[in-house]
Amino acid sequence: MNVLILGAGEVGSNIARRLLVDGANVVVVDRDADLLRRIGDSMDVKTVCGHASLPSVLERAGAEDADLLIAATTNDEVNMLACQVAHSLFKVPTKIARVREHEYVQREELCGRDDLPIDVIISPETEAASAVVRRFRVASAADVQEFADGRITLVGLRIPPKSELAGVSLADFGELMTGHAVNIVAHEHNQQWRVPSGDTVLLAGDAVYAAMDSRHVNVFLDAAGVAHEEGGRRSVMVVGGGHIGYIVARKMEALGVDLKVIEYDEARAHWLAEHLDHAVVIAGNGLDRELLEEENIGEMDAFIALTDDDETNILASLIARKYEVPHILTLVNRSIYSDLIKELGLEATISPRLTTVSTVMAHIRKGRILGMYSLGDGTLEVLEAEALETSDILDVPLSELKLPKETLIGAILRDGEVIIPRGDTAIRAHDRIVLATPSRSLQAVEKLFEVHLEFF
Amino acid sequence: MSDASSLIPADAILLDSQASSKSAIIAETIGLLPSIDPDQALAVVMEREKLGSTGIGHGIAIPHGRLPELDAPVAALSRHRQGVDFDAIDGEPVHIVVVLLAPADESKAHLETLALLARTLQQPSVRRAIMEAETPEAVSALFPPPPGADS
Repeated sequence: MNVLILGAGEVGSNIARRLLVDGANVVVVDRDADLLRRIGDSMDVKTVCGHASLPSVLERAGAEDADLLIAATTNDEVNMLACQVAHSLFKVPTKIARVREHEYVQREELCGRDDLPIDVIISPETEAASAVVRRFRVASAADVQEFADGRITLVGLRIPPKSELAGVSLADFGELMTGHAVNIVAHEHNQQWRVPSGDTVLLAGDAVYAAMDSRHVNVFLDAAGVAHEEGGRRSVMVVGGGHIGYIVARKMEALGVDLKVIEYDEARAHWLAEHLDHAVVIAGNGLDRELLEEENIGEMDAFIALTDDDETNILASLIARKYEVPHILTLVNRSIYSDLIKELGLEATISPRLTTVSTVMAHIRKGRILGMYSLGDGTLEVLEAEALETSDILDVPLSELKLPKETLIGAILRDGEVIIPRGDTAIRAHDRIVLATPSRSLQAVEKLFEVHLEFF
Repeated sequence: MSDASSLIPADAILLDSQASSKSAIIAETIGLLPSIDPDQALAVVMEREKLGSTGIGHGIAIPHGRLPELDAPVAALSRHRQGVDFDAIDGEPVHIVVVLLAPADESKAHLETLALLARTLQQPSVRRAIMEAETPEAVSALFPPPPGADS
């Protein structure tokens, strides 16, 4: 596959890295020659220097032979125009554009066959905001992701010391959950992520991901011994009212929470106050402990740090922990911080970059793969796929199906019901499947879902 | 059906494709077919390719899809000397690309046509003859008439 990536920033370079693993030919375009040199030195890509939407630049980058264009420069309009140029002049079949501006992202009717020729709009900020809200709703879980139109939920959490799950083997876990569709698909012990087997024993302090019927999330959280969302109004403090902060605030307002937003920039704070309905907007520094105390940080149910500065977010989150805020979410852009943060005891982080790379990869695989989510350090993937007629995965009992090593089918959505498969379960056409697999086995898993020639 | 003597009429055959990618050779082959919307056809065929490559080995690919405005299946062929990377099941480059487009109805005619194309192209003698042919007419003559055509 020939892929053209416009923009050599965090998003562009990380997508490039992932695509290379899949064996794609990648060309990266950027205006910044230094940035390109750094990328060209560290990975096997061709680089082209120039303004990303210009026909001559796209031509030099080999647009005529590109199967896929990913426009991920920092400029929305350049990205959108580049898709148009790639479509009209070079007939690039699939075009993905990164668009930040919420006003564009909201208007889905902008894109289409007779409109802007963009197949997928990705918006790191909107994605991060959605991830923040998702996690807030299942506040005590460290991570939450939805699959199969929301019918299957993937919940990640660390097993607390007195949990019912501590000391339980996976075989026993099934019994513990009898009557509920819950299945553990990934297990971390001593920083090693694995797809568990029947004799895996869960220990306090280990992290797990479980796939489940979305109606059974609270049952699982109860069994794990972590509190879930109680009724009543919740108070939330958000530090940082930028792009992501604003979208989060809007969504929080819709959820009916008591919201305080602290924004450093006075003009922006003013703008926020005008554009938000109920939230209390405070112009001030999120690291100012006096201010935070004045605003009753100690009484908050959740604290969310969303400024565009990683260090500020980490420090603010540590302050919130000092005041024993039960749920703390930290936005972290740079991957180098992720191990550090765990050591500091901040479990729940959101990385727009990682979420975006996942989304892009899922769209590239779209067709066979409907959704994809990287776990832990990225060694495991959870993905969703629809079993289509003629594919190899159909009609063989799972105990006899040759799945790649360490691959586990977590849950199946069949005729509107979520089932946890057993050895004698066979996949049927149109089942939606959520499975966990090591990243290196992704392509082998994909093969199982490939349709044969006669699929029309 | 105007020309019922072969599944692939001579005017829908290109002997020297210079395309350098999968999508380019599919687009080029679709371009050989009159009175269809090439953009839509390309989108439909590429969408199907994502579900599984139609490169069935031995340098053959039969990308296909459905178009609502068609009355009967139509096919076109491109030949490529050097071969194009097609994610084929045997990993080999593809030299013969046959695009098949079928109406979006319930009938099974398209499956018969697809099977007929696959059977024809699975014969080594036919593949050799296609690669050696000097005119589109010679290639066209290697294919049987469409199933059910009263010729």
